[in-house]
Amino acid sequence: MDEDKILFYAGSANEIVEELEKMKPGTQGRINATPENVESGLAKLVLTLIELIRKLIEKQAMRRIDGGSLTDDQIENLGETLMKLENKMDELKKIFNFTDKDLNLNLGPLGDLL
Amino acid sequence: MQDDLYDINKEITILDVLDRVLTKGVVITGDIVISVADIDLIYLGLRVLLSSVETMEKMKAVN
Amino acid sequence: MPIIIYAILEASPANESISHIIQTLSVKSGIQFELLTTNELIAIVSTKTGETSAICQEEVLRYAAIIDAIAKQYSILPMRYGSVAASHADVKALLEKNSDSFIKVLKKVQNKEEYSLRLLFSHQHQVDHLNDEDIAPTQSLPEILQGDTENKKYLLNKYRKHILEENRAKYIEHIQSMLVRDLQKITELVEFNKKITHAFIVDAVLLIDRSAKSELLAFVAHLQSIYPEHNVILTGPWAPYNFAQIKLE
Repeated sequence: MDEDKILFYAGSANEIVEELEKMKPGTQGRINATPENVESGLAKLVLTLIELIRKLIEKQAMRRIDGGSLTDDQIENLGETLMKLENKMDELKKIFNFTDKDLNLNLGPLGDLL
Repeated sequence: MQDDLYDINKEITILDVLDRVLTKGVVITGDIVISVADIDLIYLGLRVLLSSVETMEKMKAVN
Repeated sequence: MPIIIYAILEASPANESISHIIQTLSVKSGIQFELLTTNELIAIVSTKTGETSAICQEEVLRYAAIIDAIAKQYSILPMRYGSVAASHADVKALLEKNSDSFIKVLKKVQNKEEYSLRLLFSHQHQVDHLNDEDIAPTQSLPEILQGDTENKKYLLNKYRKHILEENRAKYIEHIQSMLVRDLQKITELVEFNKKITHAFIVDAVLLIDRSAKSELLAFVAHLQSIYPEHNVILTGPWAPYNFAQIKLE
């Protein structure tokens, strides 16, 4: 492929390469369970699901705020709960040495879970 | 400067080519066909390890 | 000996000259290409000889380059790397069994080439955008989130991000529908990649008539002029990889 396939571009080519790299399927999202790492693999799966539910709750909470029907007390409560949930999640991630990237599943043609 | 630009252009092209030829296009499955190895794994292998004979052997073993 | 399949094309009068091209390509590349024909289709193949070498990037690129060279002149269906059959007879059987679906897709891609059109937020724009939001008047945010407690501050921050996400999604939707509308004159075959990272606004593949290439280039230049704050990238022409994704048994 000698000829130039880039017909048009503006901006920083480095940025483009960086972003294209990120879009390629990689090792993340695969849970390769072996006897040695089964514990970590299982933790990854469980934490991924918890993270999914946490994000869904967060989204739902924002919709409720948009709705405008929440009382001041409910807002305080919601804020506290979500904050604690996120902190707890961060703690767990640290314990198992996972990054946000690790806590995702590649669903093939459906894209990523998170 | 000009050389840098050339390299990056080439890199974008290679990324685009690899993405197409390894994840798109007509796929054959089934008994009459012997696939070199699971394409998904080849792709992974390429991305992560580029080329390593040892790894290819492992992949074959897995398959 | 395994048979490597590169591409499939129609056995039409327009493709008669393919055997010459294949000969030239064989001399150039050192790979002995062969044509396997049925009543309706032609498969371009080679026999894998010698040691099974390790699969490396160079080999994949070589394979892609062969497809690219053929696609320059002919309407083909490119095969995914790793498409290998056990024998010539198997390839022929495959062609005959799937003749109708091959012909159908070949008609769709006839005289057309694929391009990738991408629109990205530049990093600078992303940063500016976020800052704008940060200093945006707080009146637009719900009254109930105004307050000095930690909990409210936390929620307010989450809410800002939520609004930012919503706006981003709306913006992307708006640009995509604009693209589909404006590209209609050139092509109706536009597909958007849904698995995009945050920097992307659009990552689309288009199937464009060979004769409409200059129109596409003009459109892309126009697109960049409407959105000077974004990066527009066009790559191609490619063989119609994204429009030939059929699985064959």
